[in-house]
Amino acid sequence: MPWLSNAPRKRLNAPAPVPDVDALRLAALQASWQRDRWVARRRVAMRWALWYAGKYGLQVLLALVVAAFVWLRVIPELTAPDEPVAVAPAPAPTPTQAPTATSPTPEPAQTPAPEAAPPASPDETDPPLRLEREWKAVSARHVSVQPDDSPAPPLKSDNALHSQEP
Amino acid sequence: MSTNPATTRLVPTERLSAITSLIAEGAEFDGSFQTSRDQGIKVDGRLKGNITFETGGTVHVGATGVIENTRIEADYVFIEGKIIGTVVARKALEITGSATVIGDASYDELIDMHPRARVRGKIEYRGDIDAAASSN
Repeated sequence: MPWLSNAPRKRLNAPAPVPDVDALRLAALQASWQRDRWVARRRVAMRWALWYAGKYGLQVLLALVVAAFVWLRVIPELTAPDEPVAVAPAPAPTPTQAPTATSPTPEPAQTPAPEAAPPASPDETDPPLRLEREWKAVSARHVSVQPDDSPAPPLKSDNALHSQEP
Repeated sequence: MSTNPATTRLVPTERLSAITSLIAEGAEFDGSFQTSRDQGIKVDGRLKGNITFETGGTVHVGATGVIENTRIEADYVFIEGKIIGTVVARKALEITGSATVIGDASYDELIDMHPRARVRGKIEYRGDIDAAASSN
């Protein structure tokens, strides 16, 4: 039974251990240094900020004004969607017109570049540059077609186009 | 957690660690402090009066410390706070960027002043100018 043992009882009202004088002094100094560090850093930063504001404040203010103008005025105008443009319906090809006027001309973008073309086999007879010369001649002929004086067809909306489909 | 004293350029760290008297932040002390021992004092509160160390001595004015109507005389003076009065440093005077000194300051050997320190007064070298020039 612990309450019957002869072990000496602990004194509940024992005085707290008194810290060493030197330890107390060092603890106070360390707390003071820690406060000093933050206060000094904040004060020096504030002094530098004030100095920079006095020296470069006008330039920074002008830059901010220009940036705000660009941000609020120029960028919205550039990014605003364009107004819808009514597209004239393409005239349907009549059966009398021969589709051979423009269709056989190859598109320039689809012609492979001479450098990118695979090495020609000895069996091929057409050099790769010949296609380009022919394209120039065909395009010149195509430009010389007489202008179309017929009046422009009336504008119709897209929905009207869709409704005309069978 | 051990905290090192403020970073100094001239005043030895051991001098700051050997400070024996402290006027804490928020405390006000009106009177003069004088001793003939090589001790130190740190002022974080407000002090109105003189601080005189006849021999040796270190005075550390903390960032929150304010000393008015004073004449401070010690071997090492390290200023982070505000001093209105006269400062005499027999060995080294260090004025940090957070310090404000309104009054004259004189030193015998070394001085270091931060470019953002605010000093309104005269800084005087008390040593022998010719001796210093001949040694260079």
